[in-house]
Amino acid sequence: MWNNIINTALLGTGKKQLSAAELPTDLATVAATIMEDRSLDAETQFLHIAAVILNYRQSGVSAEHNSGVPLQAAPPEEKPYCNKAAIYALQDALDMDLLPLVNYWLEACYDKGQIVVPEYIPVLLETAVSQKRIRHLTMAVCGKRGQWLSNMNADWQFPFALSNEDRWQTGSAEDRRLVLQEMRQSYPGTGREWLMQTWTQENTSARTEFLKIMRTNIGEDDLRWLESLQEKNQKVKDEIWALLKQIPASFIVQAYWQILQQAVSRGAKQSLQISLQLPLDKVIIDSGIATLSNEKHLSEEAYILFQLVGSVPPSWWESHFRMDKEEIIDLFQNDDLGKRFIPALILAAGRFKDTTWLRLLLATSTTFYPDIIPLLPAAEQEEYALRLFPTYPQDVINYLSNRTEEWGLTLTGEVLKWMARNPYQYTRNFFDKHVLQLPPAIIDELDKLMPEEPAYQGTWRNTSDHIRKLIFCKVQITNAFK
Amino acid sequence: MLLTEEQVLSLAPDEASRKAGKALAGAAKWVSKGANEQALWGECQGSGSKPYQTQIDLAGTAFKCSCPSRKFPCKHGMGLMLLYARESATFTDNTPPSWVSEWLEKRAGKEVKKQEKEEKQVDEAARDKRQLARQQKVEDGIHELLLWMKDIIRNGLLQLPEKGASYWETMARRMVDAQAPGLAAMVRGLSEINFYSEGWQHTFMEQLLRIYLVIQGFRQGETLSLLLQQELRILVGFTQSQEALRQEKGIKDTWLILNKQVTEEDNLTTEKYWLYGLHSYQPALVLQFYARGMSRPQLLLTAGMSIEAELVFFPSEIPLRALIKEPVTNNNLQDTYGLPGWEELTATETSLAEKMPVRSERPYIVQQLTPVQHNMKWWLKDSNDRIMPVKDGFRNIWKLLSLSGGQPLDMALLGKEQEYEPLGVWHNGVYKLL
Repeated sequence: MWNNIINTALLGTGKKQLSAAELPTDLATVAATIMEDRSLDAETQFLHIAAVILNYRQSGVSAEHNSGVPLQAAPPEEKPYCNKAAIYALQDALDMDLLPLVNYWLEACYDKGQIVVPEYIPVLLETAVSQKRIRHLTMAVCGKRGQWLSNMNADWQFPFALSNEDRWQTGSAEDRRLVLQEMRQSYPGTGREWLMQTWTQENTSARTEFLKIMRTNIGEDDLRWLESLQEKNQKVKDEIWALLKQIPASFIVQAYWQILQQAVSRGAKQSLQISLQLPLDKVIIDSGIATLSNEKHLSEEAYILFQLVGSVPPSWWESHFRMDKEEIIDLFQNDDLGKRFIPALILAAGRFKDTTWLRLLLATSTTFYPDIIPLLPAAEQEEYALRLFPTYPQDVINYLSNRTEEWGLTLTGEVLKWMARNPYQYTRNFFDKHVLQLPPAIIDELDKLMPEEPAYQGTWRNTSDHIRKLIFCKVQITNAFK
Repeated sequence: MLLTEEQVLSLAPDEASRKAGKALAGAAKWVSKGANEQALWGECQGSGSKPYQTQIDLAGTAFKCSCPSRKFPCKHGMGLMLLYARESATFTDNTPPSWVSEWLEKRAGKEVKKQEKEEKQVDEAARDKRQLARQQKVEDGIHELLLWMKDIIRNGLLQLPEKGASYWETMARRMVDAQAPGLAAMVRGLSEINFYSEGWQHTFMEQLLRIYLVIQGFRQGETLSLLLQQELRILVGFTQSQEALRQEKGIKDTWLILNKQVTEEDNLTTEKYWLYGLHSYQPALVLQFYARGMSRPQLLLTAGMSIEAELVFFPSEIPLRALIKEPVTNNNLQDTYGLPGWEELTATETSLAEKMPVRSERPYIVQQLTPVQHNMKWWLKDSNDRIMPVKDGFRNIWKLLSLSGGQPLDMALLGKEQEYEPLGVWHNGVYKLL
C-alpha cells in the first residue's frame, strides 16, 4: 500500500496514476470520494490519498509477536562489585585517557577480588580491543557479565581462556613472545622445552626474538641445547653467543678464562702482571670478541683483554689470586693498565649477577651503569642513582623510566627539580607515562621545586598542576581499593 | 538534594568544561566551602590574587561565579558540584557568607518582580490589522508552496537527487518572506534528506506529506477544534507568546527528566529535555535555546533527576512541548508507572495519530523490556513476547545490554511508530542514563 504510493511518486502522476485496486479495502470509500471529486487535479488527489494512507499506516503499527528470540541471561556474579569511589576513579582515568592508570585500576580491582559495575563493562572491553596487554585483566574484572557480553561482540572475543601452552602453539608472534617471557620468568626449563619443540618450525626473525627472551633466567640447564644448535644465520648465531657468554660453565667462558689465567697473574709485591701476548683461537673471534680497539689510548691487545675480563665471573679471580675481593680490586686499581679493567669487572659482575662484587665495585665508581644496577636492592639503586644524578641526569632519568617500582621521594625531588629547569625536554606526556612511579608524597614538594628562572616558572606551575591531577587519580584508586 | 557525579557532568556545556571541572573537584583547590539545604558555595584559588567566589542555588540549580568565564556553568561551578557529589560530608560550614545570602535574596526578589510584571497595553486595532495582513501573506505563500509540491508530484521524485541546493533554498526563503518560518523549516527538512541513502524516497514522502497535512489543516481554519487550529498555526510559523502561555494554568507534578539531547548549529545551542509526569503520565518536551558566549540557558535541568514544577503546554490536541513555570525544585528520580508492553504503547500511538497526524517522537516508559537480537538487528522484547526494533544508529546498545544482562528492565524510550531509542533504564531501583 505505502509502496504503491512511493512507486507512483517516484515516476510522477504525469506518468502513473494510483488505482483504487492498489489501496486497502478499509480506505476504499475515502479513496473513491477523493477520486470522484472532479474539482481536484490529479496531483491533489494523489496528495490527499497519500496523506490518508500515511495516517492509516502510522495508526496501525503493531509490535511483532515472536517468542523465538530468547536471550540467554548472564550468569550471576560470584565476586562483589567495586564501590562508588572506585568508579569515580575509573571514570577519571578513562577521561584522562591514561592507560597506565586504567591498568593500575584493573590490577587493584583484581587484587581486591572485585568486579566493575555493568555500565562500565563496554567501555573497558572497548579499551582492551586496542590494548592487548590489559585484555586478561579486563576480562577478569568484567566478571561473568563481561564474558556474557563479549560472546555477542566479535571484537571482544579475546583469546583469554587459552592456556599458556595453547597460546604458545597457536598465538600471534607477539602473544608467543609474551608467553615465552612469562615462562622464562616463572618456569625457565619449561620455556626452553617449548622453544626446543618448535625450534625447527621457527623462522630466523622469530628465532632471534625468542633467543633474546631466553636471556631471562639463563642458566646451566640451557647449556646443552644452546651448544647443540647449528645455525647458519649470523643474527641467530650472535644471539646464541650472547647467551653462552652468560653461562659460566659454557665452553666459551671457559676458553676465555684459559686465556686470562695465562695473561693475568700476580707479580712481586702485590702487583699485577699482565701479558698482552694472547693466544687467540678463531672461536674466540667468532664468539664476538672484537679485535680492533674502540678506544684511542687502549691497544688492540688490551682491548681484547678488557672484553675477556668482562666475560668471566669476577669471583674466579678470588681463587686465581687467592685473595679476597677488596684486595683484588686494589690489585687492579694500583696497576696502570689494570685499573682500566675495573669497568670490565663491573660489566662481568652484572653479566653473572654477582651482587657482592657489584656493590664493592660501584662504591667507588663514577660511571653510571643503568643496565646493571637493577641487580641491587631498590634502596641501594636509589642511593647510587642519587650520587651520580648531577653527572648523568638524563641517563638516570632513562633508568628510572624503565623501573616499574615507585621512585624514592628524595631522588624524585632531585629529578623533578632538574626537569623544572629543563621544561622542554620533559613534558606532560612523560608524566602521563610514568604516573605510577611517582611517589604520592611528592605533591607536597612540588611548589618547593619551582625553578629560579622566571621564564620557566609558568611552565612548571602548569606541569606541577598536571602532576597533582595524575597523582590524585592514582591515590583515589589506591584508597578506593584499600 | 545530592546529585550524582554523572548527573553533575551532564550539566557541563562541553567536554573541555567537563575535564576542567573534574580537575577542580579536589578539596585542596578550595580555600573555603560550605553548603546548606538551599545553596552550595566555595572560594577557589585561581590565577588571580583573590579567590573566585562560586555559588550554586541548589533548589533551582542556578550558578554564579566571580570568574571571567563565559561558559555556563563555569569550571568552578562544575568542580564545586562534583566535590559536593563526592565528599558532601566535608562541607561542614552551613552558614552562607554575605555574598551568598545576598545573591539568594536577589534571586528570590527577581522571581517576585517577574510575577508582578504587568502586561503592556496593546493597541488592539493595530494588532488586528497586522495579523490580517500576515494571514494574507501566509496564504499567498502557501499557494505557491502547493504549486511547487504538485510540480514535484507530477514530475516524479526520481529527478530530485539531481536538484541543487538552490532548488530547496529558494522555496524555503519564499516561505520566510511569506512570514511562515515553520513551513520554511519543514521545506529545509526536505533538502536535508540524504538522497544517496537507501530508502530516501520514503523519508522524503513522509516529510512532504507532513507539510501537505499542515497546509490542508491550516486552510480548514475554524472548522477544526481551537486547539488544533492553534497547533497548526504554530507549525506554520505563527509565534506563541511564551509570556502569555506562562499565565495559563499548567500541570503541577513531579517531572522525571528522562534525558537531555543537545545539538549545536551556527553557534546556537538547542537543548531538548524529555520529561515525564510521575502522576499525570504526561510526556513533555522542554526546549531551551542559547547562543554560546552570548547568552545563558534560563534553566539548568539535570537529566536523571526529577523536578517539582508546573508545566504549561503549548496548545495541542496531543500536548508535548511545554514551558516550565519557575521556580522548580530538584529531587532524585523516583520509580514510576510505565506502560505494560508494546500493545499498550502502539494503542496510545494510534489514538495520538487519530488526534494529530503530524507529530514528532515522544517519550514513553515501558515496563520489563529485554534487548534481544533478531535478523541481525537489536529489538526490545516485552513480557508478552512482542518485539519492536531499536532505532538504527542507537549508540549505547552495549551499555544497555550490559545493564540488562539478558534480564528485563523498566525503560524510558523516545520514538514513534516503529522505531524507539532507549533513553534510560531503572537498574536495581536506580535510574541510569543511556
